[in-house]
Amino acid sequence: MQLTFTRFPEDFFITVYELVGGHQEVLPTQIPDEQWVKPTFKCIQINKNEEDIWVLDEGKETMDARLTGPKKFDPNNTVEENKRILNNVLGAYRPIRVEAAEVKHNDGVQTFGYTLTEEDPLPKVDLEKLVKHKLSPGPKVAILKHMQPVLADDEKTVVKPEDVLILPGARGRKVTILGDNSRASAAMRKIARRSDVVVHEATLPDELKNTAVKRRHSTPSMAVDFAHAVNTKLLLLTHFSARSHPERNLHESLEKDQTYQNRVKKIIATRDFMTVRIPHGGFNENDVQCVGEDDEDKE
Amino acid sequence: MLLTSFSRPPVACASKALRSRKAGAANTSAFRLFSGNYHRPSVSSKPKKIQHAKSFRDRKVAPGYFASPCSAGWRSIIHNREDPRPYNSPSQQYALDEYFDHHVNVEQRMSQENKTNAFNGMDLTCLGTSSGIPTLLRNTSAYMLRLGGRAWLFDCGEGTQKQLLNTKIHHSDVERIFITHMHADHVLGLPAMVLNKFMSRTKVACHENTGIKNSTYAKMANRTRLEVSLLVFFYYLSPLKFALSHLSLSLSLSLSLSLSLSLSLSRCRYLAPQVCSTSWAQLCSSHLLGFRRIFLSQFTN
Repeated sequence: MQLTFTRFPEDFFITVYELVGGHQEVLPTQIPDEQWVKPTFKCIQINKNEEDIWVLDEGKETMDARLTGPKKFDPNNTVEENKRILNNVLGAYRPIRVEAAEVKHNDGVQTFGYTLTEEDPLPKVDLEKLVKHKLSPGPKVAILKHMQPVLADDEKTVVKPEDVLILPGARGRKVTILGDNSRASAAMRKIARRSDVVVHEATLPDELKNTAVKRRHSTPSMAVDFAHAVNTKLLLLTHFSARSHPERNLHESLEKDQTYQNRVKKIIATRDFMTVRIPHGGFNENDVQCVGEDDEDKE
Repeated sequence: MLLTSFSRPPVACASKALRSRKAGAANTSAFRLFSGNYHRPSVSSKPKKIQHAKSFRDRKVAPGYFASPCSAGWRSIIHNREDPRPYNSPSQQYALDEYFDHHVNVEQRMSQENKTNAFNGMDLTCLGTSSGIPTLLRNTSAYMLRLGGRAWLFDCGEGTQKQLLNTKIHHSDVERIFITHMHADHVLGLPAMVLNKFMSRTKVACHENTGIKNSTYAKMANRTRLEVSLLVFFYYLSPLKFALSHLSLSLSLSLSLSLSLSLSLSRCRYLAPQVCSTSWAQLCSSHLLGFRRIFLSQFTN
């Protein structure tokens, strides 16, 4: 029996990133050049750091995406329209840095956790202070935002960025998604520090902690331990076992348990199609906006 | 119950045909077929419009498991069947209501979204929150991060495409797929996902004035692009193989695997015979080894 394509366009392109050099890596990784492999591959191998971290930096690709965004930038458009399009594209494609680290799961199965970190947005300018220091808004302010000193309008006094900017500025958002694990590694803890959202599995309830450890899965309390160590604001619990986590009291028991709540600010037991919206600059204190399926109409 | 409802519609049809013959208008379906008057429907043979329920909001239980207001035909056969699964618990009813609301309002939402500006934030959506076995309300694990116009997937369990249909993201918008590990419930949706990406040939717009039109980057950008950041043993680009090679390892998932494997085999169209044979050989050998070990251990004990 041979399985074939009905239709195979030639202009298909796949990039495969391989995280090479993990602890449990066994086989050599390569894509063979055979007849039936028709799509064009680009295989990029990423080696790990000295700190056991794989880094996937977007820089170059992001520039490419900026130039070839989903909306067309046409010289025939009006200037305002073009500005709006460019702003949209630039806003949408803020570069994101992906880091990966290993976590401990079943033997022979290499498991990773990922963190995505957004670029820090540029700090804002206090307009009253601008007038005080005799600076008119213009390209000089843009230079100031990149933390470089600038001469004032009379070109005698030097204006430092600390004088004008509102510091500290906002942080970029950070999301962590872990694979199945019973114990996260030190490297994982390091890269996930102070992330806004952590997605952690909680396969079995706390009563079955021994079996969970045996199967290399974790319980809600273990997830809370990780979240506490990492200092997150929101913990999402997923990967519930159908047998041992009955659907009836799952949300109430997990979200309103006080032993958990003392350690992490907000816990949510997820269900399908639940959406969490992360605002610009990350979550503030006591400010977690969660958009369930039912709340979408109210926006 | 079932029998009675089944007997009704053919009787009604026969009586109609008789009536039309008596009137002399030879407009029964059989006659029309042979005479070739397809385009001239008569007044008497017009089918009755079936009355639907006014809205899905009125329903408190799943369709197909309760008596509906529609009368004759196959609908009554389906709807009059007795309810095998009671939807008594309020949480389940609630979830189903949400489900219907979502499906009914899809078109309205799409139109609204097109009017507003492009989405500029960061959304994390859970597409699947179950472990090994998918349940009625939960699918196998997949998470989607929405960044502006693009979407990144984390893990791609089986049925992720179907879950994607319920969100605002089209599968051609998926730009990257990250995979945490090669267990079946995290990976088996991948072949179908990649195939679907083949079929939808969305092209990335290219800026013409920058002079990069003819460069390799521009060519790359004009191709349909999918980036799979994948890790452990990604040779042959057939995740099925990993699933197979790990069959013996993931014992806890063995039951769900056998089910989902059969499904994904029918979907996966680019699996070479060699791969299949070798992997099955590996599997068999591993099983044989295991048997031998068991046998030996029993023997020694």
